Amino acid sequence: MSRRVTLNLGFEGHLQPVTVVIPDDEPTPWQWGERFEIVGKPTPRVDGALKATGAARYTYDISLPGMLYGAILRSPYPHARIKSVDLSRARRLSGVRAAIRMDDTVARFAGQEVAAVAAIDYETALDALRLIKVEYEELPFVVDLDMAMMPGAVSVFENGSNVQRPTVNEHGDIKRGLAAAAAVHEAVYATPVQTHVSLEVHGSVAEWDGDELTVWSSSQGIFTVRDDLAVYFSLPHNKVRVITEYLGGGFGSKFGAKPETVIAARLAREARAPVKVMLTREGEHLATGNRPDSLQKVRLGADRGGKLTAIELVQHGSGGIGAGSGSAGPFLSLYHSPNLRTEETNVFMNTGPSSPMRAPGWPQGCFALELAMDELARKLSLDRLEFRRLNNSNPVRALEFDIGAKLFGWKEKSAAPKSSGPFKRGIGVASAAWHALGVSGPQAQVIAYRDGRVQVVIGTQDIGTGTRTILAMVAAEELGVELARIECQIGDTGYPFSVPSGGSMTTPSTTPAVRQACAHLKEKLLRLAAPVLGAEPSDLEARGGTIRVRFDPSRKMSFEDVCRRIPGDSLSAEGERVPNYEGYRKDQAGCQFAEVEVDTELGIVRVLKVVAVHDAGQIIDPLTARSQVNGGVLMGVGYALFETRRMDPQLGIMVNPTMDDYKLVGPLDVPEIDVRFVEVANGFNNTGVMGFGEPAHVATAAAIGCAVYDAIGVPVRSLPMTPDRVLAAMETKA
Amino acid sequence: MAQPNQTAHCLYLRTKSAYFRTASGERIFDESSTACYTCLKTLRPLGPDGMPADAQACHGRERGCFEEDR
Amino acid sequence: MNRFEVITPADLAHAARLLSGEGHVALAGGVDVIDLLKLDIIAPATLVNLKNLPELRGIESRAGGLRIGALTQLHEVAEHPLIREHYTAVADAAREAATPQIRNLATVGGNLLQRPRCWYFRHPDVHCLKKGGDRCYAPGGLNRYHAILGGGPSFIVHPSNLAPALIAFGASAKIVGPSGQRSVELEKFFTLPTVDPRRENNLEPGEVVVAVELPAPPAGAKSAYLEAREKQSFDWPLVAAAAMLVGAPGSHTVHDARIVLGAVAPIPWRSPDAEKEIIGHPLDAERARAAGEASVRGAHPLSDNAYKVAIAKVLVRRAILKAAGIEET
Repeated sequence: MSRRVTLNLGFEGHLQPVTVVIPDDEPTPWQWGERFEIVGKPTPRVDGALKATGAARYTYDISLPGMLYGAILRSPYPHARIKSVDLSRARRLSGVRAAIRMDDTVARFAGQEVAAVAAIDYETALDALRLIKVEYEELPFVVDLDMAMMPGAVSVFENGSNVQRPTVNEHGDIKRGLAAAAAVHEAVYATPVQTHVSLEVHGSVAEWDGDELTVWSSSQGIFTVRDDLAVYFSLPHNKVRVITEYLGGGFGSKFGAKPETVIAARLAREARAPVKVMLTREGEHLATGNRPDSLQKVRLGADRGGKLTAIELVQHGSGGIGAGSGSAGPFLSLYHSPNLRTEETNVFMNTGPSSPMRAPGWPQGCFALELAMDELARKLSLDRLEFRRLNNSNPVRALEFDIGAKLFGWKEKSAAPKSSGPFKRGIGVASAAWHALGVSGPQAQVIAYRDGRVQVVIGTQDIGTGTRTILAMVAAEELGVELARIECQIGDTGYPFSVPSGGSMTTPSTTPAVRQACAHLKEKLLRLAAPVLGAEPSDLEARGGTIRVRFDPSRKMSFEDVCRRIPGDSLSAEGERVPNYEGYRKDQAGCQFAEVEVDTELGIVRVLKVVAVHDAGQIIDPLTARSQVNGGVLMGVGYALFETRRMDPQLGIMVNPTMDDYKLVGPLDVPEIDVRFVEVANGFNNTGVMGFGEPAHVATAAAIGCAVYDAIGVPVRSLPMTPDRVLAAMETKA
Repeated sequence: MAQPNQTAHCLYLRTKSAYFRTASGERIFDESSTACYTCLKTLRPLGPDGMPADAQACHGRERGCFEEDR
Repeated sequence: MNRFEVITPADLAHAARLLSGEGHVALAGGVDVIDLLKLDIIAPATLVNLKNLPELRGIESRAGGLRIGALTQLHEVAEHPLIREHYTAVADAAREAATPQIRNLATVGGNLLQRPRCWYFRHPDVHCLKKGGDRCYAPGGLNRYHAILGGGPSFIVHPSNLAPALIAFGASAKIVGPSGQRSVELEKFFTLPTVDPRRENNLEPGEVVVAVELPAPPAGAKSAYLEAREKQSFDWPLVAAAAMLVGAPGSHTVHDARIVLGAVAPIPWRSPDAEKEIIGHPLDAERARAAGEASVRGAHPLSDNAYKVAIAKVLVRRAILKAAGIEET
């Protein structure tokens, strides 16, 4: 049933043989230093041309015969009793086919869905929204974290305090740690609400056929949307099918069936016709989730030698009407201290609910901790990188500090004299961490056809990371055929199960299932070839587009010739992602270096360069791997300098729910980005892959914050570091 | 007749971790400080009773709106 | 967005007639008008498409100056050799605007006539003073991008990039309306909210801006235009500054000057105080600094935007020095 294999685990210079137990039908895990034909070679996305030409079909592109267009009416008030919703005039408008109201009796944030209509075109749907009469009773509201925490603040939930029970983690004795410190630093750091801004907005197309529901959804988890819809509509799972052929980003906000998807299905049921509901950009900003804000009171202590003696965080943050604003992750794991205490408290306010966003809690915590580390290093007159080395306990990160520092020129840049003019340069470094081993569950099917084509079928979805390309590369490698032979079918719950694309787990969860399926298919193909080649299947290998005798490669058959011996039309095999083996390290390290230039008279910060060093397992495609890190860094630049949800205190509304006023990084704001990977053989699955979509985003804003501090000599303790804040910080210096 | 599972989470409770299952097939309700919750009945982070939904509050039968996940 | 029809008039007189009617709005590049439609800020029955009117096209030399048709796209202004050479600030202002895609669509007329970017004004659920409501939400709300000068009762800032640079060169708007044509100095074209908080200029119903006329640049004129922006790509300026300097022949003395700020007031803000600081003096960094200080004299920042005062001072100084070709040390 199972067998033992010995793997070389660890990382460059620190490899050691470890014996792990794996199920019998698992292919022998790919090993450190394995010689690949396809894996690890820079490979353009197999669907790149489709995306570039517009041929790739996103949910936004779905158009069905007789399809109606839905539109959503949202509450303009941050807090109001919904006394009545009159849909009658909207229903009577020519071209309107369905109108529904949501179940809520209270609107708790401006932007909450109140009603929706479906009509023959979008313009008619908008006309119909204007005809819906809603009677609101406005209630007092609170949209500011500080105010929401005050005693006597308006309650978001009836009669309840907005301040939730804190989550406390501690070890050692923080008081003793602070008393033992040669230097203590204490300050409050603030981070803003960031919204996901997926380029493809949330939305779905829903179609009923009797009691069977098919939904095309802009989702990062087709099976989770299916399960949610089945529960919501009390349907057996097999009566719901969810399709996501292509997806324009999700970043954590598109896991399950959200209001717009349910609205599409409800409207479609009422109208007895397919309905498409895609959000407006405003709806996207207001109601699909966000990264919560934070106020983080940090106390750090260190001894004269630079060893941390105390790490303390008292944090408050708001997930709007939702929870999940904690930020302690980095405090608990980046640096070692014998005494540590973190206290995280979520606070409710009348703003849209948070949802997971690219490393939930980590960019917030990393910014506060790392800038505090720099402020303490200055008190101790320590080199900031050295200070981190002293307190880092992850051996992979230690190597990454070395690699990054050399690549970045830390020493040279540290020694460079500061300009006497208004443009000041500065550098910073920050650590990242994550844990993306992947999970069991995914199933894959691989089919070889008589004409030599191979199909990989798996119910995963491509959140934008190049899933089709990566799975095809793994299949081509295992089957020893060229990439063009492989076709990937993904994004349909009619296919074998897979997990959501989240938690940086897609590639480590899906590639092992596909590889196992391919290994099983290969066995069958070898059995077909064996009699022709006059050899035992166990003496054969699939390589270079052939099946050949391992010890005599001149005895071979082309892959196509083998496929022609398939008795029916096709030959198929299944594979599954088995639970993680006992591997090397469950955590991932990483660090990023940033260089900025600050116009100290205008307060404008430009990021010049970012060096990102991250651990990876086996890299399947270096191009998509690098893209992941580039994307994480860019999102981090936006978080550091530009992005913030702005809530008006008078009206309780978001004033910048547009692409114009919610400021995203543009081409000229993009720094030079240098990406390096430290390959870690972690031995948890048969491809050796680890995910890194999230760690790539954790440290960027922190490194930029540290670089700004270095440039201007005073810390800017609030993100985004807009000119007003930079100038205000400069004033405290003067 | 099977006893209702007193320690289970509500059928309608969702959070990111609950979109994954353990190797033995159970939904994972990690009570981390970064967990955002949604009630599938209301599509909001609150239950039909108007009070916040989370892994502690939507666990067990004390809450009136609790429904067992079969 | 409401339902509307689009009419393409046969000639300018026809356009003027149409635009005199209730519910008619002019359409040129459409960059701002389409946004305003989508946000339900305007709900015209008819869009009058000006794109086929030949009088609104072309950049021509005239009497030593230039006539820039209102339909001229921003990228044409940015790249035109005569504008680059003789009206540098104008070319730079066009180049700093928006993105390449928008500059290929947006017109000179549209840039001057676009509505403010104020997030209260642009919010579909906010009925503010500018939309006929009873209050401006900026003073009691989020006003980091709002006016520091000339504000009240509305505190918008005028969004045009081109206007400060054009005013620095004494440009006029050539306007055709139902009762004939008129020419108005751009400096007098824009109006403060005290005149009427719902509008930003004195264009009357039925009137079409057909061209901008730049007089011949004074001999020895040099100019510069600078923007301070949060983002380097696709962002509106926090402050813009245009400086036009005329040197006395053979000396460093500034013979004449115009300093015009953008994004600080409800209209493009000419600063005679700043001009006084440099006219008649040899120009150096100290003079430029004094002009920068003078440019915001009398500023009344709101709760969140005092930083714009600091930025304006610096930007005016830098624009003057850049125009003069003086490198700061």
